[in-house]
This record gives sequence, C-alpha cells and structure tokens, in this order.
Amino acid sequence: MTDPPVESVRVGRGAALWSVAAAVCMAISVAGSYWIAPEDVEGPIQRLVFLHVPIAVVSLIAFGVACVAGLMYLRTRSQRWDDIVVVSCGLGLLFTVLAMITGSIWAKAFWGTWWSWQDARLVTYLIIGLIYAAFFVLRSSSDSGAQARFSAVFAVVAFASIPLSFWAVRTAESAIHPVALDRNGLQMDGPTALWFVIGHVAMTVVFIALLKVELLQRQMERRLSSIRLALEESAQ
Amino acid sequence: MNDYIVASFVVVWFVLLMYLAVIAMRTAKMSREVELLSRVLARGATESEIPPAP
Repeated sequence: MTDPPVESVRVGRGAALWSVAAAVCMAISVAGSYWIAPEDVEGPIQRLVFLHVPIAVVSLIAFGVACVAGLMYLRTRSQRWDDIVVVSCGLGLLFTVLAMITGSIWAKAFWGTWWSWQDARLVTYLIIGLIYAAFFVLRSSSDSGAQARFSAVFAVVAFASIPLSFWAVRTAESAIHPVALDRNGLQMDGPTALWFVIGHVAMTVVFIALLKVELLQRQMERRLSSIRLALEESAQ
Repeated sequence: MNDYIVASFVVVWFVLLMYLAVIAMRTAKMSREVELLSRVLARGATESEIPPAP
C-alpha cells in the first residue's frame, strides 16, 4: 500500500488537535462554571447561563459560517465549500436543539414553565431552528446536480432570519427572557463574566473540532467512493 | 434546583457523546471498506503476476 497523501495526514492531525483542545476546554469550562464561578441573585440555576448562552451563540456562529461558505461556493463552485455549508448547518441545528433543551430546563426552574409563547426571543429562535431544519428537507429533495447550489443559496438567504430575529426581539415589548449582553455591555460582574467568556471559547472550540472531524470524514468518504468506482471500472 | 443544572449538563454531554459515537461508527465503516478495497487491490496485483497459460 502507498503512504497516505500529505494533505490528508495534515488535515487528520489538525482534527485530532482540535478534538483534544475541545475536550480540555469543555472540561475546564464545565468544572469552572459548576464549582468555581460565583452565584448571583438568581441562585445556583444561574450556572446554566455558562452552558446555555454559549451553545445558543455558537449555533448562530455555525449558521454564519454556513452563510459565508455558501457565498464562497457560489463564487468558486468548490466541493469543499459545499461540505462546510452542510456540516455547519447540521452542527448549527444540533446546537439550536441543545440551546432549546437547556433553555427549557432553565425556564422550568426559574419561571415554572418549560416554554413561553409570549417571549419573542424564544419564538424567533424556534423559527430559526425550523428554517434550518427545512434546509435538510430541501437538500435531500433536490436533484444531485443542483443540490450544492440550492444549499448555498438557502444558507445565505436563511441567515437573514438571524439579524431579523435580533431586531424583532429588540423591538418587541413582550420579552421576559433575561439579557446578558446589551448596549451597556456585559450584565455581570468580573469573575462571572470570566467564566461566561471561557464557556463561549470552549463551545466555539467544540464547534471547530466537530466541523474539522466531519469535513475530514466527508473528504475520506468521497475519496473511498472514487477508489471503489475506479476498481469497478478496471474490473470490467 | 441543583437537579436542573445537573440535568442540563447531562443532556449536553449525552448528545455530544452520541454525536461522537455516530462519527466513530462512520469511521469504523470506512476503515472496514479500506480493508476490503486493499484486499481487492492485493488480489488484483497477484492475479496480474500469474503468467498466462501457453
């Protein structure tokens, strides 16, 4: 057997390093937010902020990455950008579901209810999740020739829902969801803010690690299927 | 109150672990396929070395 291509080895090492960094960052963040970070007036339930908010923010970052990758695909028609669109949308949706689950648990503990249809932030976030769930329905139902183009256009257009949702939340008067960051800056004191930022860094590193691993897998799957095809052709 | 926090952390860790398990299963499937293809290649190479019958 020949040695694997240098590019694959480099990408593989990169994914492994990011995975180790993700595990270390998550361990530090979880331990810090659970045992070290100080409690505020909300009591112990406020610790969920260190988990819930970074997950929600990273879901929006993932959709932003998908939007940029979609634009790059439309410009270059490179398969790699299509892979990033699909993987980012998938990870964004995963983080959206996690943010909604952790948010519901917080709401049950703090408000006494799992969900509130009166809150603009909750409802618009749910709509964003549903829009990106539709991405996979569209992708699987379109023919293979136009699949990547449709996905790229969808990722770009769907991203418009995020600033729209922010605008809707800011203008709505029915919002009961607490705000961590507003025009006056971060609404928390020093040590709490530190663990809040560490939580964001950890979750971003987890997203990058999962993105790298998934991209590597898609690349390997494509390479394998091309080898399989070449073997079948040579056998005939 | 603590139960809610623990439940949230458990849900997040469980989902991430499930995600990793799916990735690991896909990697295992790919490695099986690589194994199979390398056997097919090795067999093809052996057959091409056998001289044709006179």
